[in-house]
Amino acid sequence: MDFIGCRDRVALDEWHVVASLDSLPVGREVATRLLDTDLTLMRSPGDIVAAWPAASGKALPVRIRYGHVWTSLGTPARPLFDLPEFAEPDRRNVMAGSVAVHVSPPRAVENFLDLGHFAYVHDGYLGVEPHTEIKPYKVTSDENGVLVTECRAYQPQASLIADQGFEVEYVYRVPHPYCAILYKSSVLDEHRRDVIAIFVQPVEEERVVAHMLASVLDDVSSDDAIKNFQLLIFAQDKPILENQIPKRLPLHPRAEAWAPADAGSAAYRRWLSSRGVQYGTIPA
Amino acid sequence: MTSSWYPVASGSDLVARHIFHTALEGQELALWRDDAGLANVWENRCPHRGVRLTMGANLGTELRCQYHGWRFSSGSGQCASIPAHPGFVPSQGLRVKTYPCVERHGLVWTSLGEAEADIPDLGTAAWQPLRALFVEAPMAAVAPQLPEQDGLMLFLQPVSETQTVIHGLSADPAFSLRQHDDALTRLRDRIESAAP
Amino acid sequence: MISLSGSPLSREAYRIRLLFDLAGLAYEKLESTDLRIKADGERFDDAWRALSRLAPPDWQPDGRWFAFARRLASSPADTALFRELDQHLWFGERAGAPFLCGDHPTIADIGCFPEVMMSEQAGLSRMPYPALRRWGDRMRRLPGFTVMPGIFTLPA
Repeated sequence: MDFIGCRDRVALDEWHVVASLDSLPVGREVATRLLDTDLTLMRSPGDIVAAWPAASGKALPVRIRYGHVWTSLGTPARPLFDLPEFAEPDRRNVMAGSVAVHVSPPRAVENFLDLGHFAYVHDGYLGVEPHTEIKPYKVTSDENGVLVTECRAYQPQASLIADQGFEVEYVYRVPHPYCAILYKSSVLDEHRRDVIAIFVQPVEEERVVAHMLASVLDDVSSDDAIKNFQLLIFAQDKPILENQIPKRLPLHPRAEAWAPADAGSAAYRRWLSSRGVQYGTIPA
Repeated sequence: MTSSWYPVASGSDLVARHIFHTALEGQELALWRDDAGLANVWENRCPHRGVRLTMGANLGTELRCQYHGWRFSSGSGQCASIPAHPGFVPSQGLRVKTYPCVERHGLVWTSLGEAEADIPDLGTAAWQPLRALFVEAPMAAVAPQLPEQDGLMLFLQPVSETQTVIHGLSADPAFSLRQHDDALTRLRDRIESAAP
Repeated sequence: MISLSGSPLSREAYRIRLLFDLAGLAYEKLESTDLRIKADGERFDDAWRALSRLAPPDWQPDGRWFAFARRLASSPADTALFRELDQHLWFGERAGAPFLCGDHPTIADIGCFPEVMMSEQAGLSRMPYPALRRWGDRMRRLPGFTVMPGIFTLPA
């Protein structure tokens, strides 16, 4: 298939996000790009979306999941990962923005998993000096992904409805090379968690569109307010992401320096290596 | 790897609590002066996650990276503290890559490798650095255009394959900084409009 | 009484907010992400006009550099404008004028500030403009300085 720009079989055989559903006007072709390949999307009434490479008319498989449009340029071996919280009736599901960033897909995911940057990049929102300590946490992984649990961080304003700082417990899940999900203690119900997900569209090896989803317990804030909070946080990360050298994620364990707080990102890099993902990385 | 000494900044560019941004032969550099006056020439890249150090802060004795707040000591470039782990002493190997730094004639000189020749010695005359001019042209296109003038020394810094900085030193008080600047700016405009 | 609303990602709103925070003007922050500026009952539809009208006397600019700021805001990746700014500031530093119009900041500096500090988003690196980079530090160290996403604080 000459019109497909990417050669990484592992990346090609995955489902990838290409748009939020609500960003697609009905009846109009929308151009996008995935794995170095130009695509056309067309939404019809009834939330049906067709996708095809711009250079050929061949229809691509499409799934609408979690408010977003997913497609594949290859043959996925299994369905897209589950996100059961999305279907819970008392959740607010908010499409929290799609932002283009000049960075590789794995760097964007790793930033989302990162705990040590809150007081410096999100000063006053997700962290503040001197509350910078990251206590040890747990990491497990298998062929389906990485799970990071028992993370704790003190946050001045952990969410839109928090009016004071408190210690938040985080869980991160990486069920896909370019997607990550954050579960954090809900302010409204300590037994449940707010879900923030980042679905990274790998446009090119060093370019992405980051699509964000907030699936939260919040009976007060407007959709716009929830979305704008996530956009604000992401806008603080964007200049950091765009100033990382190299843009691709080095997978060799000694390519970059480590601290104990990086256990989650170390596991993510090992998992990418074990899956054979090359696109957007500098393989070990 | 052999290399040459090149000027990369004026000494007066390295003001207190500031980080100066430049590049030499494609290698980005972060230059800074500590509170005791020592000038540092470092790779513009934090060894942790590769973020440009020029986005961070000069704390006086340490450079702090904007991403995770890691701090690196003046002189050695060694990591001195990691905020995620208060009290943790990072290993000596955890450091920013540093380059040699010599200040002479009001300019800051560095070399990316083993320097073959010495830094030019212009004697004891009082050389006044001019405003450095950034030219969007390769060094090979700039060098032949440089004027020869008594009391004026021009040095070139190859920033990258397509960019060059002209560092001028003037020993002739008859010409003002502004006059030199106007002349060099016109030169730059000529070089850039001649470029393909 | 002044009130202001605007998206935290809006440069227009940030310019106004920065003036108020630096000049120590009290104002009420309203919830909406629409840009709305109201002072003593008067509504401003144009952020530049608001800057000009609401800036106290010591924040008023030399006309040329405020107009320059408006030009910069409408062509944010213009190398020629950045070169002009950098040259002006370099000579200013030597003449006791570390800000665009002299020895203290004005709305000309505030006007230019977001486009300069976020030039990379428009594809322009600030590496060739060392005097501009030093000016950016001086702005960030002003008492009352606040950020918008994309700009980071500096320790005093």
